[in-house]
Amino acid sequence: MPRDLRRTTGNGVRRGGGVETSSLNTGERGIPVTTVDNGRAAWPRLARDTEAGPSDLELLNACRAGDPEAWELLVERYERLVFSVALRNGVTREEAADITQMTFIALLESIGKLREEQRVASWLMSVARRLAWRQRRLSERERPGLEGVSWSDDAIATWERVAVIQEGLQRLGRACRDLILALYFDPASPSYAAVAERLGRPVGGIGPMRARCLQRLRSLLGEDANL
Amino acid sequence: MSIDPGRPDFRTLLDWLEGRLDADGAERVAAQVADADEQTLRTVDWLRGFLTTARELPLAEPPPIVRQSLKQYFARWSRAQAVPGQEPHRVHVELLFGRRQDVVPAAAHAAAGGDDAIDLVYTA
Repeated sequence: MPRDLRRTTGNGVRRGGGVETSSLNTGERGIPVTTVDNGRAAWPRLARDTEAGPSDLELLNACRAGDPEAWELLVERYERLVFSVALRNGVTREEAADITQMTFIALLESIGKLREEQRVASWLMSVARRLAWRQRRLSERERPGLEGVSWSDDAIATWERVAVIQEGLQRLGRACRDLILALYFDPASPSYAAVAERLGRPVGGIGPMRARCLQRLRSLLGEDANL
Repeated sequence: MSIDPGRPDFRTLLDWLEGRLDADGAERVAAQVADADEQTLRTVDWLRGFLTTARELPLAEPPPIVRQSLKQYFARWSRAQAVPGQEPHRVHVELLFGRRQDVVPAAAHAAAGGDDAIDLVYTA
C-alpha cells in the first residue's frame, strides 16, 4: 500500500520528489509485513487508525532518505518519552537532556540496522535507560549521598508496559492521542476543564471521549493484550 | 452514566476506577465487578494496568534546545550520508549540558549496538 507522507494538521510529513514508499506483502505464516525499499522484510504491519499520521517505519524510511520533517516528527513523537525514561532512572534534568540527545543520535546512527522485530519506542527506551544507568553510576561515585535526585526501581515489566502503550498511542488518531496524553501522561495532571481548553473541545465531551479513546487503544493493542 | 444491571460498560468501569462515581454508583459497580463475567474482569484488569502505568511514567518535556540540537544534527548527518564512500564517517556532537563527555558517548555507541565504524565526537 503506497503511502504518501504528507503533512496533515501538524502530524504528517510532507515529502518532496522521490518519495520512499512501503508496500505490503504477505510474509511467512501469512502475516502481513512491510517491505522496505531494499526488499528486506521489515516490521509486521500493525493495526492503526486512518488519521494516525505516518507510522514509525514510514518515518524511519523518510529519515533514511534525508527528510528533515520526518526526523522532526520522530523526535517530537518520542522526545518526552526518552527524557522521562532518563529522569525516571535517577539523573538530573540536565543529564536527561543530554541523554535524550544522545539517544536520538544513536537511533540515527543505527537507522539502517534496526532488526525487524524491534520497535522504535522500545529501542529508544532501552538505549536511554542504559545511558542513564551509566550516568547515574558516575554521579553516585562523584557525589556520594546524592540529594535532590530521585530514582526508583526499574522494573522491566513496567518498562515493557510503557513501551506497549506508547507504541499503541502512535497508532491512534491524533485527537485521541492528544487527549490521552493530556489526561494521563501530563505531569501537571490537568483538570478536564484545562484539557478541554487546551484541545479546543467542550468540557462535557472530555469524559465520554476519553473512554472511547481508551477503548480504541485497547482494540488497537489487541483485546487480550495485558498491561 | 448508564449502568447496565448485568454488565457495566467500559466507560462506567473507567469512571469507577478513577473515582468519578458517586458513592451509590461506586458501590453498585463494585458489586457488579465482584460477580462479573470474564470479559468484564479482563476489561477491569486492562484499565487498571493502563492507569497504573500512566501514573508510573508521566511524560516530562525536555528543554527546547534538545529538539533544536537534534534538528541541526540531522542536517549534518544527512550531508554526511549524501557523500558516497565517506564511511566510516565522523560527526561532531556537542553535549548540551554535559560535564563528562568521556563516559557517556561510549555508552551511546555501545547502547546502539553498533560495531560499524562510526565516530561520534562529543564535546561539552
